[in-house]
Amino acid sequence: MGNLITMCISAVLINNIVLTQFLGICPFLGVSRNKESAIGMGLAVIFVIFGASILSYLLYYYVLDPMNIRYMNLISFILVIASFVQFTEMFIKKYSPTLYKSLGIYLPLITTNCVVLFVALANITSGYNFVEMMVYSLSVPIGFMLVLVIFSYIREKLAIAPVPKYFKGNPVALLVAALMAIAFSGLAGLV
Amino acid sequence: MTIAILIGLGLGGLLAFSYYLNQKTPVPAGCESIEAACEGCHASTCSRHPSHREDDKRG
Repeated sequence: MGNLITMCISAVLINNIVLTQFLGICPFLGVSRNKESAIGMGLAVIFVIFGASILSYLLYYYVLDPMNIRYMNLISFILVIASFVQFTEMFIKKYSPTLYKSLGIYLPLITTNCVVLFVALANITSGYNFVEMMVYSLSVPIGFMLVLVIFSYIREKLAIAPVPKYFKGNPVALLVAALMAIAFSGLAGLV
Repeated sequence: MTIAILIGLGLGGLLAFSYYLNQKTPVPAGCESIEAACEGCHASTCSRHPSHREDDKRG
């Protein structure tokens, strides 16, 4: 149990996927201009990563590994993730128009989020069991959402701040991201 | 090798089928212009970039 809590804290705060691995930078910069978008994207990423990771894990250990075609993992995971996103979008479109309205555009964009594929592959290469895989697949996107939402609050303030002309937009956003990475690295002694 | 190809084709077929079903599912009322409100990453290569939609309209 302690191991799982450590894994969770580590994935959310210490080895945050955006600030230490530099993955998911595109949505991190693109969908952080306002906090509503950031929260919508964060929730969609949590759902997709968790679902796609479970499917990928089962596919690997019940199909690819027994048939000795482990080298198919990359292409299989990409197809599973893309299909899962399509089915999720279809389901939400049909049964929850309100949710579709808030998440609609972010769901298909998640297919190209490299964090989803990273988590699916990391679950295999790290040799996690099923419970560890579920905890890791939930912790990583929670960490992604955490920094995305914090970053969106900062960017909303930056939009009205007197930033020098040549630093406006992405340059100052990247500087803020760097400072956030430094701040999060201070949590390294937590576990 | 044959099994690998079959699995690849099967998963590719699953993706094509899910895409077809998703496209066939009607968009709920009031959500037709969601994509127009996208202020995502501004990647010009993205199929959802506003410029592509304008191209589609022009034919």
